Amino acid sequence: MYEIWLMLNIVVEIAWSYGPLIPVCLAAWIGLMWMARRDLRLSRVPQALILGGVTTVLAFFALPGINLSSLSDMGYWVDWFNLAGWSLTAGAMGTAVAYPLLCRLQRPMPPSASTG
Amino acid sequence: MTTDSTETPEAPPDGLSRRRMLSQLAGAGLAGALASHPDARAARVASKAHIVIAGGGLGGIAMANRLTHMLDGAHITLIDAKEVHNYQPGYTLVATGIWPVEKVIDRNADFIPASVDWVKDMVVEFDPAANTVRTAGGQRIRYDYLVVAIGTHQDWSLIEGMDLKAIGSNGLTSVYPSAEAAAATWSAMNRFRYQGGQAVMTLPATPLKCAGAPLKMTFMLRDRLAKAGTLDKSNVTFYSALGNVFGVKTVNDNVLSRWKDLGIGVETTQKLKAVDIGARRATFVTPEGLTSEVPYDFIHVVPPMRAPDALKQSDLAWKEGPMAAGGWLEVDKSTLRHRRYPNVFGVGDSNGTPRGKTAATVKKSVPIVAQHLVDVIAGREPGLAFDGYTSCPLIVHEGAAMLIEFDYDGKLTPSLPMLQPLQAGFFGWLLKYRMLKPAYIAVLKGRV
Repeated sequence: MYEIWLMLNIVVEIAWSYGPLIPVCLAAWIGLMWMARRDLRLSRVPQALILGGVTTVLAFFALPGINLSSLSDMGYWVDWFNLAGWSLTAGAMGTAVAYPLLCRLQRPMPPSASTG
Repeated sequence: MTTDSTETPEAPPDGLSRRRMLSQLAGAGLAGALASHPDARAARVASKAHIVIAGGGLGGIAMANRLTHMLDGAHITLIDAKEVHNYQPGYTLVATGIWPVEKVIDRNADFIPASVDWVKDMVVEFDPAANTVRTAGGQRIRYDYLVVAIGTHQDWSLIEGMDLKAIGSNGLTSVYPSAEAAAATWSAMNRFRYQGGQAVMTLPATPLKCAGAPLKMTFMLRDRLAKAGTLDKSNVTFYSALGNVFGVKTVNDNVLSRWKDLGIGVETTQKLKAVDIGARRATFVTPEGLTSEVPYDFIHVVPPMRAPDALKQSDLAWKEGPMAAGGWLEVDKSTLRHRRYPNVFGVGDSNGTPRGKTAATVKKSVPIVAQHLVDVIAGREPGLAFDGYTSCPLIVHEGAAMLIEFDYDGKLTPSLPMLQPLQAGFFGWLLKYRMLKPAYIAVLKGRV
């Protein structure tokens, strides 16, 4: 339990260290969801998941380098598990952004007004 | 890790129970749970006591934050002249070119609670018989309870010819004195790695803060040389006065095995006696008194350490036993309460305990000491026991580290059962590189 409490505090302190960036990103995402609220469709979920999956794969290969490490430094399963966890987190964020974007961009066009 | 007893140091601070924490996280949300101080959720003890905290490092400020939330009406005074707060566990990252120096520099004012009386001065005398401390500015401050958290004194005077101002030039380096010295060390290492040559790494025989730092510097220097392509014309040798290179045998053996594979030489009975900075020559002495001169192109100097004079010369210091020579604080190793002055407690590097001069030790011991102090104020006997926990994320090259955790007995005590302490890898590195400073800040704020 202590380790969970510690990890929660680490996450909060990391968030603090980025200043307003995280609240701004969160506000942008909420704004995106608000703009797309009438266009949200379950049928867009698979596409969003695919983009999230792509994000996961990209993160899996990019995260070690971003952190000055490499795939060759994965010593045992805890390292792989950790990398997979962070990659999935990135993928989940990718999905969360892709979903309202896809719904908004692929919304059905209103029927054009007919004069005849 | 299950902790449903407040009798263990692993318990969330002041008995924050699993059920209560989960209900808070679920009900009020993560932000709400973290915004409220854990100590604020426990019953505050009313007291008019005057508590003096000597020292404004990690231990002192963490104590100030915790006591502020645990006591109602107490007068807390923190004495330290330093305005800058250095994240010292990051010095090895600065000194090896991984972090910019700005990343280890913060301000004490950002962390000291507003209700605490901050005396910007240094304690120069402890008079525990009179419950008084005297500062360099001449103030005499009386206390009801005292927390000693004044860190270590780096005894550079024991190395003839040493000049701290010369660090960064002539191949002279040391990660220990300051953030600026760590940055200067990287400047020298950065030049040396493209030239190669004879590298001398040193280790004294005294207790050290962050005893893993000299090992990390050695691993990283070898890594920098290898990546710069100058390893074949270089020679890295570690000169220790300890008889080994690390106080925990399993770790010591593991490091020696790795160094053998990496071609790093080891001398285990050589104490650095003098350094001729201009001539780039180091003089070592054996326990038998034999001296030898070693030429170098790069030297990493680790100073002998002891308690600061104010503590060493006071009646608070150990009078006999292995900690007496260094003048370390005479505390019971389990309660961290002074053995002769029951209104005095110790946190951090100045404690005369068998092991543990690290931020990790402070992280685990401050909640215990704060609770003990409040217990004593409330008329209760201190009931928690500190096991000597300490931790060292031991970098073996850029990108990989071992997460070594151990107790007073030198027993490896990983925080999570699946962690393999002697396995170097990405997770240990990620902790050191990304997560330990946020954890440190949370400790400083008295939250973990």
